[in-house]
Amino acid sequence: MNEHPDISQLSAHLDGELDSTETARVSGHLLSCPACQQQYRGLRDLSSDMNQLPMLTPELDITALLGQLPQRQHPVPAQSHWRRALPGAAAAASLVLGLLIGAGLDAPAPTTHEPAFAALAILDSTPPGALCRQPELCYLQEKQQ
Amino acid sequence: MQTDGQLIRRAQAGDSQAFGALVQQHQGRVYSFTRRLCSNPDHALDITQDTFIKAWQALPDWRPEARFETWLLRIARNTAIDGLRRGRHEPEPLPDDAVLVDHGPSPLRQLESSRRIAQLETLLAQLPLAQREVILLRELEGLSYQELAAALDISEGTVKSRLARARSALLEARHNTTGASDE
Repeated sequence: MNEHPDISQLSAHLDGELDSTETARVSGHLLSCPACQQQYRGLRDLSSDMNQLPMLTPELDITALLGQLPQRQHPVPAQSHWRRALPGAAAAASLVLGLLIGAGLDAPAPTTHEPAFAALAILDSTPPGALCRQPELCYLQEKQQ
Repeated sequence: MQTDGQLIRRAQAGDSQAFGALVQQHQGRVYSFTRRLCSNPDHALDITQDTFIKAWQALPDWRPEARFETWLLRIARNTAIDGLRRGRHEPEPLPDDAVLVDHGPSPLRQLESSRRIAQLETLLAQLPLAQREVILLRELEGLSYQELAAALDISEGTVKSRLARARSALLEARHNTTGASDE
């Protein structure tokens, strides 16, 4: 490739933050371009020097600092207990619901009611054998007349 | 010796001694960052102290998905920025004797290295704040671009370009300084 990578591409390449295609493209270019090699070497040396910057030690009075710690507005235990109790509460609720449903299965069978409207008696759920519970509704009325 | 995770859990539950151990472990990183980020030693010490007090208050909200060091540095960064916005202090470079450490096998190389590092401290202090914080967090703390974007509340693309500008500025300043001293 002839196009030089810009400084941000070289910098990201140094950090390993380019995707594989870009990494291959920049690496390929670096192999054949002395100018970019020199720039890349400068970035690498700078990075190396940055890593040699010493860690500075503060003169922090930790005991005094701990004495200054304020009371927390929202203590953790309340929140974490609530979070921890959530799965247990859900399990208990499931159990109670299951017991209620189970108890419902053992309850006495619901009583059947006679239809309030006489005409609906023919639709009654009485099994065959008593085909018509109210004959006056099932047979012709001629004999009576 | 307890791990950070154990200390954090105890501190979250209100154990200030555990929190003290965390302060002991992380104060150097926080102070080094704030000292280079913003200003004089006293101010950096104040920011470090404020950072840990804020961390204590916010600790119940910390979740293991966030790296504890990154989380702390983010608090430190925001505290430092707040201080700078109020205009309390101006940045000033580190004194030369702060960086006289042994890095080379021979006295000559050691001296050369110390001089280069001292120069780098001075040049860093002259960078714009936005560039300084991104390069410090990348080079000294090893944050990825994704972590930098989250810590600084900017996009990864901005991280990439800002970091490149910071490096480019340092290289150019170093070249100018070295060129001037060579002549």
